Amino acid sequence: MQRSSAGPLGGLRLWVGLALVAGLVGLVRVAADLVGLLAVGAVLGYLLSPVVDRLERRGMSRTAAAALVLGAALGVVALAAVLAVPAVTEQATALRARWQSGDLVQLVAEAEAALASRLPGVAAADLGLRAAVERALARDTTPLIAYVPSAFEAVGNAVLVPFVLFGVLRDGPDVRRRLLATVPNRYFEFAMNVAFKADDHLGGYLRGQATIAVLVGAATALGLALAGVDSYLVLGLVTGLANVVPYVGFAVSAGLAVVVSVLTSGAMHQVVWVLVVFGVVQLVENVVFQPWITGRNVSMPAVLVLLAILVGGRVAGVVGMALAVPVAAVFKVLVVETVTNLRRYHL
Amino acid sequence: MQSLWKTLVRRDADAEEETLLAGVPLFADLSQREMDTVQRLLHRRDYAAGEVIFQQGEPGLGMYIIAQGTVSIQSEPSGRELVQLTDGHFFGEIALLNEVIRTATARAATDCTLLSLFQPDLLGLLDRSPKLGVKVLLALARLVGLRLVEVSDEVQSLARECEALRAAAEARDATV
Repeated sequence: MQRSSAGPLGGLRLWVGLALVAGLVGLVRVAADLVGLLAVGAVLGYLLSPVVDRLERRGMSRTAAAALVLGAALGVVALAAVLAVPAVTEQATALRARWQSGDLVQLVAEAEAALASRLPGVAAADLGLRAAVERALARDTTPLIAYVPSAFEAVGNAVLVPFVLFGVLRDGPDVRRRLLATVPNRYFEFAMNVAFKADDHLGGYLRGQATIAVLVGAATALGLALAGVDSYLVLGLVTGLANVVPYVGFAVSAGLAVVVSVLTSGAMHQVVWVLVVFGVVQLVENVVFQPWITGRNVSMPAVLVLLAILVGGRVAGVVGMALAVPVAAVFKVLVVETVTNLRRYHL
Repeated sequence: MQSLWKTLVRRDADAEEETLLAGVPLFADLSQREMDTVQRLLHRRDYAAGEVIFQQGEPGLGMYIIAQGTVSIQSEPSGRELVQLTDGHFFGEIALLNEVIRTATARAATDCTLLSLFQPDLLGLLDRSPKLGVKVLLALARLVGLRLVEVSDEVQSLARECEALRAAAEARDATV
């Protein structure tokens, strides 16, 4: 049971709250990527907490249920890695062999020449495509030892997310109660109402987006397999994950699929099919999945989504872009519910 | 093992609360374990004398049980006191069933400590432990049913009183 009072501790609590907010803002400025990872763990925890609730309903303790869900989530990630890593390695080896054979340099040179012939007054060498590709390859010759510090950092980050995930899964409801306990008496019912409704809408929205990402990934993998593109599983997985960043994710994964299809087949004939697959999946997502799955939940205006992605990318890179839409949805729901409820409560 | 641990670490305040809750019809039939679960859902809040607990006309979200102190239920805008409630009494329970508009203002008459249970927490309980949730909900339904019978009796008695007054007025008019 949470205890709260409007006594002399009230002022102290305010200062503690302000210090916490200041600390959080400072942390975002100093280590935005770390905050991003914390947020990734928190969002994943929020998405998976209904599963923990369900297990708890079947008589399992909250700790055991959280551990089981975390184990299952790690198992899925491990399985995805097992599936993806050999395919990616194989792909990279094939790419290197093709590069060494000189086919690709020829392909890039031909594309460069074709492009230059259509642009008046531009010579093939002016475009610098071939030079850029060669420079990119040369840059990749850094000794492996230079990657060790960032590998340690990556391992640290990989450990951080499951920790946060477990904490949110197990103690999420308790943390929410503790936060609500700090609200002054006069605003308590109001805060409770906003938190409840925001949770209802937001939970539906985030879980809907996660479901859509899975469906889009699966549909893309299936489409690319039918089109005969190699590495369709990896491309499907990447498309599903990239779908978390609306518009940008889709464009990037479509571009990646085109590049992979050209590199693996050594010709342009698959490109049309790849574009058709992405076009159809995008159409189905917008016409069927979005209205069907997120219809009753939060709808986010396209301008707000794009703005959120740009700001997220500026603050915390790729992680920031992935978190931009959920974070914007949190703010939108909180603002809408606060404004709606302020009209109903005489505050 | 759990009960031994509980006996060792239990605070007097927890035991007092349990006794208090056992006296509330909603929780009267609960086992020790169920009572512990319900206790974890309650919010314990302290109010200073004169502080508003909820305001007439605002949406209601839950019920309050008085652990200690006195609460005045008042009608707005006159501020007329309808009733004074004290230790062990509870109010606002209809809001557990539906988000209704509060029909009166509740104000702390003295410094008081209240335990509150809110609809989202009750819905969460129904989701996680349906058996316990239904038990509480059934007790709430019985309580509301009882109140309905009481109100219905009162309406009938008022109707009879009105009828008697009308008959008396008609008889007086006839004699004039």
